[in-house]
Amino acid sequence: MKNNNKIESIISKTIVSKWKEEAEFQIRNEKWLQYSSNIARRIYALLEDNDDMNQRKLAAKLGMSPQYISKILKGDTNLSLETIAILSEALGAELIAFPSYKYSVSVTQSRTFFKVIKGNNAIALKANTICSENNVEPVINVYDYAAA
Amino acid sequence: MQIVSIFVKDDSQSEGLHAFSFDDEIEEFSRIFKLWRDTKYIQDYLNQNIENLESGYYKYSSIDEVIDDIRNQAISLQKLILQYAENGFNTKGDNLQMLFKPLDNRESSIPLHQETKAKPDKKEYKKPIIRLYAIRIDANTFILTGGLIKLTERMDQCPYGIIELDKIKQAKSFLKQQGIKFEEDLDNYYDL
Repeated sequence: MKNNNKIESIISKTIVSKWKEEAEFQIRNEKWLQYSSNIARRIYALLEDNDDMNQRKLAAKLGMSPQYISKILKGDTNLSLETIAILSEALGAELIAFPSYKYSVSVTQSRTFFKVIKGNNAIALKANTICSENNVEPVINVYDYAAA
Repeated sequence: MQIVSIFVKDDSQSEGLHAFSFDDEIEEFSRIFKLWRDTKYIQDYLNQNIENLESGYYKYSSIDEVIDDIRNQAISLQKLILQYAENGFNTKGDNLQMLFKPLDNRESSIPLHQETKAKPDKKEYKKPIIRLYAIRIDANTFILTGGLIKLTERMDQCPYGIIELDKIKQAKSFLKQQGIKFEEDLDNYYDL
């Protein structure tokens, strides 16, 4: 009798693997699970560094169950912004950060100018200048475009 | 101890990938991948094995980088296994033996009843850090015994590796009791 035939007779009828559903879930949700894992790592590190705080105390402080905190630390919880904010306040540290984008860079370094031709001189207005197609109203400062 | 089907060839009940369940609740395939996506488990594991991590066998610059790598490699390995499950695995050059290689790197082929390991694709990861372990019991038929975040060169250089080696022994002993014949019985295992 081949080993294959013997295996067939001893394969479990009581345990059914859910590996496929779980693998497909991981692959489909890879991006937010990565966010969740990164938040979990930061909570883990903050708890590690704070002698007065642990999972149980954090749960009690937030009115959450210790099991839920434990689940969050696994890094597979789809946390709401509200939950992230509550955890952040309780731990006294930011858990997420936002990358710089065009409106967060220094105004003097901004290259997002509106060019306005006035006679032969080009001037630039700051990005928050209110303008319309035919009417430009500088609200804050007007810069000499050539010098900008 | 039970054997659970992971996936089998369409016209077969046995040819394919199976996994042991040592606790009669969850099979090793699901259990291992569950651990590899559990951030706290990985952080605890790395903290407990920090000396191995710092030994320089792997060139990671931070714990964060290792966690990302473990998670990414686990997803890559799952994708690979899903491909086998969905597209078949019995065509020339695309059988399960392409995925499961001899546990001992010094062997170039897999004899029947050999201990084997599977890693993420080497094209994607030059030095994979995760391993699945399985016993080959027949052509294209493997039974998974466990897996490891391997931080040392040899399995027997860390307690978790020793546990995995012990599970392979337990699994072989169970198979023998069930009448599965082994042409050989290796006492020494290598995973280089």
